[in-house]
Amino acid sequence: MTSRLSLLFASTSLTLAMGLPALAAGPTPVRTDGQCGGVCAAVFTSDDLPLPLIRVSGDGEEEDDEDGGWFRRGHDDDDDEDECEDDDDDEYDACMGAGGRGNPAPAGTVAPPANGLFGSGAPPAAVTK
Amino acid sequence: MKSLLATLALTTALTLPGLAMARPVTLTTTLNNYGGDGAYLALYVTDPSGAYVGSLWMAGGKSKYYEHLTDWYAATGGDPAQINGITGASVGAGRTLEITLDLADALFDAGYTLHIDAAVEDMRDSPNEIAVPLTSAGAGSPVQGRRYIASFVYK
Repeated sequence: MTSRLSLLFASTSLTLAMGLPALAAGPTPVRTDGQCGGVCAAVFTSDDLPLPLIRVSGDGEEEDDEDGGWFRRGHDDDDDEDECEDDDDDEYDACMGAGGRGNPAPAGTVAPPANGLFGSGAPPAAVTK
Repeated sequence: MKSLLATLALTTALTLPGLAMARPVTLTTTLNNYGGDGAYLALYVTDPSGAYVGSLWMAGGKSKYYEHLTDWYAATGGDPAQINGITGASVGAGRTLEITLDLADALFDAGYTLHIDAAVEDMRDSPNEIAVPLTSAGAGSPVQGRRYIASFVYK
């Protein structure tokens, strides 16, 4: 048991003695000029060329802002100033209208307005074909 | 027993006229293949003097676009209370919207006019696309719209 522990301790010490100076001698993984050196180069590059930067998000090249859209139903982009999502699954959300009002209640959820036009029979119904 | 019968007769007498004063009416609107997105349609009624009486249906649920239904918007200010419970989805090009409403008899043959305003995304607004007098004789006769509506008929 003691010899096994001694062997383990010796191999760990040897690894640390050889590995730490090698790691400490290397430059910072990515230099300011974009070059990769030392351990970084060994691990991340197969040649001398730096890896291309991958932008997760950004402004510029592919802005989908060409709809000119004062009336772009269903195509609003994130720059939409009224923060009103336009997914059709949410047709009756709490978006505010042009006059700062909410959307009307859809048919079947409340009674029709009492404007004298409707009788008291079947509620309004609509189908699209 | 006598009072019960009297009550029953009274309630029947009061209820029957109410039932007889309205009728189911089907409004059928068929759109042209105008090559655009779904159309918003406002169906509303004016009295003999041309004054707005009330709305019958709104096709299109987002109030921010109602200003493009210009005549309806001018009459109502875009008030959602005018169309609560009578609002459905917008109607695609080439599609047919069929609405069934229980309408007051008093609307027919009394000088009332049914109007439809239409608006389509990135296309011209079309107020008063349809204006048809509500008459018994006119029921079943198709009317053609000016821009987006191929035909409208009520019966």
